[in-house]
Amino acid sequence: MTNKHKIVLAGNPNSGKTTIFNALTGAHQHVGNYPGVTVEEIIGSFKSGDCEIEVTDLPGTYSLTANSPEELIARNVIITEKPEVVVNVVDASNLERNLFLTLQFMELGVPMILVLNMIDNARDKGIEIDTERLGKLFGTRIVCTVGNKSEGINELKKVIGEVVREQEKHLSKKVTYSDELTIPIQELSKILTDNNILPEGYKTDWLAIKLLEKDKEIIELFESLEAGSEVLKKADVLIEKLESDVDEPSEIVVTEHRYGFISGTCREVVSSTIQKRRDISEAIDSVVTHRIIGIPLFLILMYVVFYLTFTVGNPFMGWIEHGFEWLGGFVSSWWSDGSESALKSLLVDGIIAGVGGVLVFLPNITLLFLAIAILEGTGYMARVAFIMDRLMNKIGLHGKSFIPMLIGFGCSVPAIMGTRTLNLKRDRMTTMLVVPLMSCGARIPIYALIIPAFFSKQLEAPVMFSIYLIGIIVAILCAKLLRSTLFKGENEPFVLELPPYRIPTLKSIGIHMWGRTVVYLQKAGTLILAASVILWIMANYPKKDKLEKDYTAEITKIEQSQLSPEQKKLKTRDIKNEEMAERLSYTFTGRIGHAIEPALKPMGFDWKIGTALIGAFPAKELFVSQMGIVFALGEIDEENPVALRDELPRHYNGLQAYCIMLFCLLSAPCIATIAVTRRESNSWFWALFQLVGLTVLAYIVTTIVYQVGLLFM
Amino acid sequence: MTTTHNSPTISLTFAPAGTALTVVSASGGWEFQRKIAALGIYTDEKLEIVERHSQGALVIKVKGTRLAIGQGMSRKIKVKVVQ
Repeated sequence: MTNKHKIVLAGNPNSGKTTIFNALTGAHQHVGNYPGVTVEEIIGSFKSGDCEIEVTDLPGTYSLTANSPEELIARNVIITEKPEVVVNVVDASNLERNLFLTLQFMELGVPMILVLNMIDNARDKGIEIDTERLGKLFGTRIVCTVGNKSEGINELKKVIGEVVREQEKHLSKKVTYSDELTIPIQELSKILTDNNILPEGYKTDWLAIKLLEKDKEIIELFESLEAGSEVLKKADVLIEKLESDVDEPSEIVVTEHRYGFISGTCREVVSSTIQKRRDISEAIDSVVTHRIIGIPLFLILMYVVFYLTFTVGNPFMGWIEHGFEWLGGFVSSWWSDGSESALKSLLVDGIIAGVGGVLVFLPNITLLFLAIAILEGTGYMARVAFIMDRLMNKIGLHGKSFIPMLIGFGCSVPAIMGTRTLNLKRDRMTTMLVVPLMSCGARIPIYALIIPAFFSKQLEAPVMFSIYLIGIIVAILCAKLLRSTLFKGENEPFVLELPPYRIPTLKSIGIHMWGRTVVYLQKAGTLILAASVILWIMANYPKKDKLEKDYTAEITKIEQSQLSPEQKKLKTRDIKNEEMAERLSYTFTGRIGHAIEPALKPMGFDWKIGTALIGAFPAKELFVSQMGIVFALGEIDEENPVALRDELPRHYNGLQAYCIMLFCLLSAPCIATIAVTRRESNSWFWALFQLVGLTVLAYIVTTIVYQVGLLFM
Repeated sequence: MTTTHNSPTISLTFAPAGTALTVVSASGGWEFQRKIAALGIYTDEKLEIVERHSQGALVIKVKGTRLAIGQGMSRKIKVKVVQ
């Protein structure tokens, strides 16, 4: 029998914590959400001797005060779940800042292992750390690692195993501050012990420090306790005295004492052998964050990324397309030629065509996510957030909003999940609501169908570009509007660490890229699968038994006529089209399309477009296959939109075509996006607000464009 | 102790780049102060401006880490030049 043990991994952002986590647990990971909040809970496991160790990767934080949801979660996991050991990963080349968090674990009085990660960087910088002495001062075991080279990982596993077996010996040392802070701490903890109102799981000294730090959550905790108000009153008196003694806010006094303790420790254990020179990261930054060339450089890089995404992705797209064509043909072959089977139609026209249409864009989207994962892994994205902050500020958004919006060009779903990095609700909500305006990968099939059908070769690129640009401009206007109405308030001050540039490990790139791709795949596997079935039913039922004309007879008549084989083929096709159209207008989809036609008229749309738009609601890309069904081309040439491309210009003009793209760009996001907005905003209101708001917006903009356009036609 | 008493207190926005500065104070509410303190920006701590951007956006170096800070923030931090 094996022993199970629970530990947590904690550390600053950019300390290489996730790399250590990946190196420890490999593929044995599980990603979930902490209940009620949108902070990811990542759990993995590994074996050390006969022990099975379960590791929770806590969110990266600089502190354990109630400054952000991440910080609250990190400490609450430690307080309520009581892990046997906290493995604290610190950046060895930047010990002073990193130990600030370490000290707060010591205040909590938990068993701890200190991991000096990136020790090679520290040595390169000429920093020598006396680990033995540091271990004695802090009362913890110390392991040196180089996470991205997996150095020291086996040693770490061994030490974790040893510590969980005999944890009592490794309780970290109690931190002692100078008298001006120690006295109020002692007084407060005495009151807590005397009144016997210690909430479960908390330590008196730690609560005392948090009260002096004016920690929101702890104050609320005491407000909820019966005898709590007395404690708070006493705390206020002590805070007032402390503040008048040192003439500084008490929370800053606590911070200063922590840093004081740390710098004392560092003086004892750290020695710098060489004078620090300007390192490579600083040299790179002097170019990429340069106030003049920073943004142009970024735009060039983005152009390269998008260019590669499409050129490298195209052959793969072709393969997937052929694969689904083959699959459709293969499944069709189970039925004898000409047999009318509802199941066959459901499988081939509904499911395979529907899901296939979405999966075709998998290569493009995966490549875009790969590029973003690389840029994130190197540390470049932090710089991008900074150089874009000034621009984003002008539209009322935070620099960090930029990255989700960039991901939005791939898929809105991971983009909306990416808004978690924003701390202020107003920043986060605004970003979330406008992300769908970034033209996502699912809209590409629509453009790819329409643009070559209506516009000349030279106009193709400018038309495509104009659509993307309109999306960005509308997003900017909407963000400005939202920030000056519903989400009023000051911008969050921008502060972001610029970590040294690193070459990301393949593993971490893979994990990031894959994580986002899976979200897209899940959408194809679940929502789109279900939607395909429903849409197929809506487009096929109810069946019309009595048709207006005897189409079979007409076809026979043509077959027997004197026309050339070529003409016969064309005539037969026309008749079949007519029959399909008649059948379709009898179905649910056709009826809804007809019913809303008057409302669509101002935008230049007819019932056929309306029908396809309804079909495109679950996922934008379904518009194309819906148009195929509406124009009854599905039966003739299943996967080849060439037929549809030829057909469309016979019914619509260029202005209408442009309006279709515009409406698809701006209107209601897909079901998956609405679902993720609901989850991330934790409210149906905002999800529906996004749905209705964007649709109304699309209606207004498209109508204006069409009506104005008509004047010039 | 460094001697900073005879240099004037200025906003970080207007402080010179490339020289050692000492934090005098930070305005903007105690939650904001506590947040930046966790990053190493608090009274009497030294920092240096690495790169200056337009409208007060800065790259600063504090406690061996480089931080990018926005215009709104650099205005709230008051510093003195270390002489």
